Amino acid sequence: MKDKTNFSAGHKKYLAGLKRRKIAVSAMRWGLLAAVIALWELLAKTGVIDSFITSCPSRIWDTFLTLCKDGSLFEHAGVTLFETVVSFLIATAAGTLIAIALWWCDTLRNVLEPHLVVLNALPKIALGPVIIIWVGAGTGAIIVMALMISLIITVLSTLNGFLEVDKGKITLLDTMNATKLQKLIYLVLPSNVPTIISALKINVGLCWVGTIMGEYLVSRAGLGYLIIYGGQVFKLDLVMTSTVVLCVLAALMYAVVALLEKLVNKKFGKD
Amino acid sequence: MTDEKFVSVYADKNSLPHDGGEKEILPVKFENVSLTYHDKSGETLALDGLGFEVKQGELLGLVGPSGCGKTTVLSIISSIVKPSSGSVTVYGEKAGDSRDKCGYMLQRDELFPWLTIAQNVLLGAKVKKMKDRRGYAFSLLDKYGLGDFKDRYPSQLSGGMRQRVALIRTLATSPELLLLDEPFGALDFQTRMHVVEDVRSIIKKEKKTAVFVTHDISEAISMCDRIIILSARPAKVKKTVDLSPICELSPLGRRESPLFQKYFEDVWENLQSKKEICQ
Repeated sequence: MKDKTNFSAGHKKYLAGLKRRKIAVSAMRWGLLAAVIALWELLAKTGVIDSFITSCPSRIWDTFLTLCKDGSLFEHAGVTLFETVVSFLIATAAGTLIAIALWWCDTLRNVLEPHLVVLNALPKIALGPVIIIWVGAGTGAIIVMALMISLIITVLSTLNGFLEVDKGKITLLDTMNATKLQKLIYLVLPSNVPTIISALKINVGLCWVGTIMGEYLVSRAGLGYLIIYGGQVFKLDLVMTSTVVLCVLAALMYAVVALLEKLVNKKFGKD
Repeated sequence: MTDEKFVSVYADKNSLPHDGGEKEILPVKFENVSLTYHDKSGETLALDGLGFEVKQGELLGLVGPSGCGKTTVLSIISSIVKPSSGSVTVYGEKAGDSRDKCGYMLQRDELFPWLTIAQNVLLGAKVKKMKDRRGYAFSLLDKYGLGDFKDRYPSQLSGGMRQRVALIRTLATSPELLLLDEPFGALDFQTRMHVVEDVRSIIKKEKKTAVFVTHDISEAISMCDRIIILSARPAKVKKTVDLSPICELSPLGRRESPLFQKYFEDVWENLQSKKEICQ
């Protein structure tokens, strides 16, 4: 970085403008969130909307504190988080391995491609009953459901990245008489680290969808269970609180992957 | 280029003329080499009875109209592609048995952006599982002005420097024969002039034999010891131009030589007439 004192007055002004804009956007962002919460609370307190049906921020906060005190929130959130992380890890690992196999063997890829596309298009929730019967109503079924949703798209997007590796670089390795395994290790995998990371980002979202859907179907614990249970007994405070907690957890997990992406892009950035 | 994966691999060795006398071992010898590419839309005869030799220590230029199969010739020498018929020997061995004797430099530098310059330069050695190349490769980097950039990434280097790194990557496995496939095509004119100087002097200093493919006539004349002009597809040797009278001059010196224009016209005419036949 250059020494700041070397900048001309015009450039300093330009930089100050950039900074001002950044602060303004950030302020508006948080302001919008605060305004929505405040409006919601206000409308509920003045009776314009019925807080029995819509709940309201203060009641969500109270419910949150109660659930924290008896520890049940941590239990439910823990169960859901565990299921999501496990299915996320399996989907990423298995998806990458399957993509490698399909990249390795052209015939296998040509044979399986249409089947994968159809499977990808299928709404996986339709498989719910089958999964329950085959795997049993428990954590297993929830993880399988999350895998169903995230695995195929991981395979397809990673495979796409593998197939788009620069032909010139493949030729370079050909001129060095590289084996297929060497091409995979020295070129295809490292050049696709950004692709795999962006697949991870998509996977985070999809695994949460899969886990909650799975919990709707079978569970006895978890945030999805809390939401369904709250809906059935008409405790909208419980539904809303669980949703907010879900929101925060998903955002945190996404932030971890985004951080990883930032670190990796520094090293694997395009030239 | 047609897809190189679909190349027919039958070889009819019976039709080859075999000369019995034991002579000096030539780096490259093509005898009556033909090659047919196959793809969905049909087959393409890329080479038809091509024959030429590369002598020890020489820098041979291959020029020809675009698409005439110049790159194919290099691919055959490095045994990425097998000829349909005819005989190709590299240092007396059948192409394919002699793979490690060749070093190939491509049009683009193809440096891996996630590897440092040092790691890029050692890639060939790593792929070929050669030990103890580090010292030699680093000495080349030092010798050719890249010693301070070992730990940098390719994106931090200029185009000319990257091309030099690519050459050193090719040299790092100590190949006897260098195959250069339009290695300066991606550079701007000024950088190109410098890199041509560099590359010729590096090749000569390291005492390598090289085959240099280009469509740029003046580049071929300023760089090579001898030029072979290929005809339009299917490629045959159209004419050989000996540049030994200006051999001692540097690439820039050659461009100023009065002979340069004469050679240029000679090569140009031979390339021209073919194009007219094509049309």
